[in-house]
Amino acid sequence: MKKQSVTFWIGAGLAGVILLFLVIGCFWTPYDPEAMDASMKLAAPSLAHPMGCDPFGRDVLSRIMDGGTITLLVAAGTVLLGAGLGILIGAVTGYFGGIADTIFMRIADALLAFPSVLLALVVIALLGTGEVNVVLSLGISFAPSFARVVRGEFLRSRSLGYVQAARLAGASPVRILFVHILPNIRPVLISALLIGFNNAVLSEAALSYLGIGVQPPKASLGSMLAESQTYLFAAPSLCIFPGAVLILLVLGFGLMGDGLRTGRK
Amino acid sequence: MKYAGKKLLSMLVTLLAVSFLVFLAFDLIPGDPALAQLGTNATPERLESLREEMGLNEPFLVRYFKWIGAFCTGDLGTSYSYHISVGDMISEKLPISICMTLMAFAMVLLISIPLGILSAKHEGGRLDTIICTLNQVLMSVPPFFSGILITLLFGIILKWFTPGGFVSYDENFGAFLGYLFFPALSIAIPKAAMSVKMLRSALVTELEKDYPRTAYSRGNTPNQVMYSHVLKNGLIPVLTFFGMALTDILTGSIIAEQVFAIPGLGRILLTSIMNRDYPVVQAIILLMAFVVIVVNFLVDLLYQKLDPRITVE
Repeated sequence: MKKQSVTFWIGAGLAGVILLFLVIGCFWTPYDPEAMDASMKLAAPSLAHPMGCDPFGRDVLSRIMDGGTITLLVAAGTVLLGAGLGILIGAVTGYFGGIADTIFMRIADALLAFPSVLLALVVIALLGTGEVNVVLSLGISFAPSFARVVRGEFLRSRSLGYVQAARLAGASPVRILFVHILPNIRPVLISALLIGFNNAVLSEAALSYLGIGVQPPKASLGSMLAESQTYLFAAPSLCIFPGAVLILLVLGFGLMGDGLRTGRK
Repeated sequence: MKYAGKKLLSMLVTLLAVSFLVFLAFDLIPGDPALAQLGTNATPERLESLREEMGLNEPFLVRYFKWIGAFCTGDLGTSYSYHISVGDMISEKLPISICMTLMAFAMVLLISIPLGILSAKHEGGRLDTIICTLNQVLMSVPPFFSGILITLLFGIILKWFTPGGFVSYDENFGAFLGYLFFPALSIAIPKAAMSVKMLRSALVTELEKDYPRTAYSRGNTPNQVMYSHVLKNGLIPVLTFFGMALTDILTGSIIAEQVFAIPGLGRILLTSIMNRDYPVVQAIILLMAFVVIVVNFLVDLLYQKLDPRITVE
């Protein structure tokens, strides 16, 4: 294993802590995230409720742990879908070239002309709101940029020695694509995945903030922030915690990607 | 000129492809626009006559070309929910979105260019470390969260502006611009952080080349080397990013409008998505995509102007 830079490890540490925190949230939260307690409305942070309570008296810490999990799942689903589609399309068009390449890259160009939130808005306008549709819409909008990156790498690899050797040895195109080339472009792929994951987290939060992502009563970091805005005056702490979790998560993955990229130079 | 021609052609093809995709996507939605417009008043005869009137009985391609033709002449269709022309709805809000986008973009340039230069000049020093660390943090702030924090700090704690106190541009233009300052700032901060990072790394790469050394050996001061030699080359790779930033700001304005309660294009887009008012959604999305494509085209042109070595293969 190559030695990674300090940046990478700081990022990995940050992302690890937040991930651990959110993974625990899948199994256990201090309180029921949807249980309301009228006596604790907008309670300030205390020992019993370290992050305070929201306007319905629900424990903010529990809601973050629960809502963060949804944010993570949506982001992971988005990256899986986007990267899956992107790798498939990029591999085939980059390796074979020809008419399919021209057509797919024209479509990718057209799709890339839409900023991803806008494209996701189109898909949501067509399909409706909800987590599954957010994954679909973001996955589709992220696929072209993945396809772009992967295509470039396959195009470059196509004429390299080891690929030609594999071809001479009689390996099938599918084997060359996914057994020979794909593992070799891993470094580029990993940093593309990290960037994609971050964009997915931010876009999911943005869509939920706008009210067209994850629907209540389910919490998501974005929808919690939207809710907190109404009470900015009475309970400023309400927006600080979900926002901080979001920033730390994105910062962690961002630093990891940065560390990987500078480590490679 | 050959370069510009080729780029122009490719831009037109992309415009056509995008408009086709948008039309196709909205055509695939189940549901009948004529039925949607008539609502409960629908009788089979009225439905049929309205379908005929709206041109829904014509083949797909004919409808597409009619639609795009009308779009180019400024006829963007009629809103399902408000029964008024989409063109009027949009043009009224357009100045808000344009002003906010341009303001935010100007802020990105004003913040990022000096800071990028400063950071590159002191590469590895304490100032550079501070700027880089700050950058990394600011880059991770989602634009709506920066908006909320700005509202909290400048609106509620410092009381420099009234959250929700938007003033329309035709009432008081100065107050209008004043209100847009903080929303624009909230969009600009994360983008500016990213462009400082880009510019810094581009400048550092340039500074390691041979020509700055030559320039130094001829007696130029560090400032002369930076401003008359390195900056021009260093800005070229960042230009693409600025182009992308402009379009990101445009979509970022949808979010900022929501955070700061500004009745702009983004607001209409969101309510129309929720009301399934497709002609409005279609028009705004196509309009935004067109702006993005045209900006990319202009960046490509500028690119070659700055670096004549760039040509199409």
